Amino acid sequence: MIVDVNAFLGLWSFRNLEYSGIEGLERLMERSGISRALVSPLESLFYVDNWTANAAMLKLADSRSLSPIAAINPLLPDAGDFLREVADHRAIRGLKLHPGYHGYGLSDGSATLAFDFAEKRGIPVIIPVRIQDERLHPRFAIVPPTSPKGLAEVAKLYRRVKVLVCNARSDELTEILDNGGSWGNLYAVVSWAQMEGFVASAVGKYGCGRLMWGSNMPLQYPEPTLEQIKKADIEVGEKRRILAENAEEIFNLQDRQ
Amino acid sequence: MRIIDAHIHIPREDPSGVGNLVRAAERNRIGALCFSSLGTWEYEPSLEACIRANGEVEEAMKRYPGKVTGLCYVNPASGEAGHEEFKKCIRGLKMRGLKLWVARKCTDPSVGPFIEAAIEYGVPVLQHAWLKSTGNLPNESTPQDVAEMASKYPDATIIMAHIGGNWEVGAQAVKGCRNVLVDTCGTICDAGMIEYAVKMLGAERVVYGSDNCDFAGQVAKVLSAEISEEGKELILSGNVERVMKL
Repeated sequence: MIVDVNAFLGLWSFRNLEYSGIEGLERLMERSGISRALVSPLESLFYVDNWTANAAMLKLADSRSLSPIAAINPLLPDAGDFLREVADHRAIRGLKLHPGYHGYGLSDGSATLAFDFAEKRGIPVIIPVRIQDERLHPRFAIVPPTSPKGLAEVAKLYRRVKVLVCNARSDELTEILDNGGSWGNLYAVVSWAQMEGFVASAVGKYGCGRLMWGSNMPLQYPEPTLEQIKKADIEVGEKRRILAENAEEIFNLQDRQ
Repeated sequence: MRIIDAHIHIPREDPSGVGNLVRAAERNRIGALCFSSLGTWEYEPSLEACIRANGEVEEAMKRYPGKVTGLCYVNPASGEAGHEEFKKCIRGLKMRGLKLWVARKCTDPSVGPFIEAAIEYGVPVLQHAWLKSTGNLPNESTPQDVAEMASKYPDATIIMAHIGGNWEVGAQAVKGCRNVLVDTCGTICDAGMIEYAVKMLGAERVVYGSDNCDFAGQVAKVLSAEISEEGKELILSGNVERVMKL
């Protein structure tokens, strides 16, 4: 059983992705043994309408392999209306925020609406620090990574909301967990941590309960980061927690099996 | 399948950490590692700093014979004394390549004589290259620089690190330079990256390296690529065995 907490559906504007779309994701999942993926729309990075951006998510309720995550731009004027609609869709398992792409900071109050909603609904908030290596962005669209400091601050402010940090480098995850790991609601997703031995070191320092796994597919293949967990020098039970059980518990996925 | 890591460094914080890397490599069925040391990672290292760095590699070669292959590191601006160090590393210490980082762009006139020496010694040059939208370091070579240098020295064998960072531009830039190979390390594994490099250059011009990133993930970059099994074997060991004469 493997649960991927950081996958995307849709098109990426800057490169052709062989495995975009539901069928593509399911092929990647099948070849790497992923039983469930929490997906959000790539369109939400670019569109300025939360409904259009998330249209595919609202149709995923019956999927056996994909669980929808609504990606919201909280700066859009009708973000509150959109969240009220999301509240009617029980299949939506969480919210995803893209502060860098949507141009706000986590410490400036812009995301209050989203965190208040997540708190009230009891659903997690996923925040990818980046989607693509910023050094590879087209020059006209360089998007800064979300600051580790802001992530720890927002987790401290909303102690009842589970906050998952994705696509952070090893040093960024270490900084985030050092600053906010003790709040109990901040989780590190291994999807971009490249330092040799990071997984074993993080489990030793913070415990396997703080870690989950995400692929960032279809922008990345799932196997490289998945192998980091599978081959890490940690106990089998710890791998199970990171690869599935933590996510099942936090996203309440047991009822889907 | 034999696996050789063509691009790895002595750990900056703790040179004695080589042992941990060798053990982690063994756990991941990596049979040999091609180490260079960048010392304290100064952009403009002194000759003495390069000699110390090469000493760390020499030590690792002695401690892990058969596992560790060495590459010599120089600052091309170090002139004749730098050449003596290069000669000592190759002829005396049996290192198998030259590592160049960001002390000078690879198109700088000071680099040429080192490339000529590498041709004479029959060893490849592992040349760092990145094309960053966010801006390169002052003397950091781009893939286009590598192509220019490689065209000037067609008898040299160049391994362009990181597929030039921006892997699409990198592979395009060196496509026409038959004497340039690329290594796979230093970036997250974008879907299609290895396939693109193989399509543009051929599997015989791509080599696996980790650049000290997680071995399991870096090897999986190659194993998960949708290319032939023969291509994977060339990337994981065959090509580096050929160009470094291992």
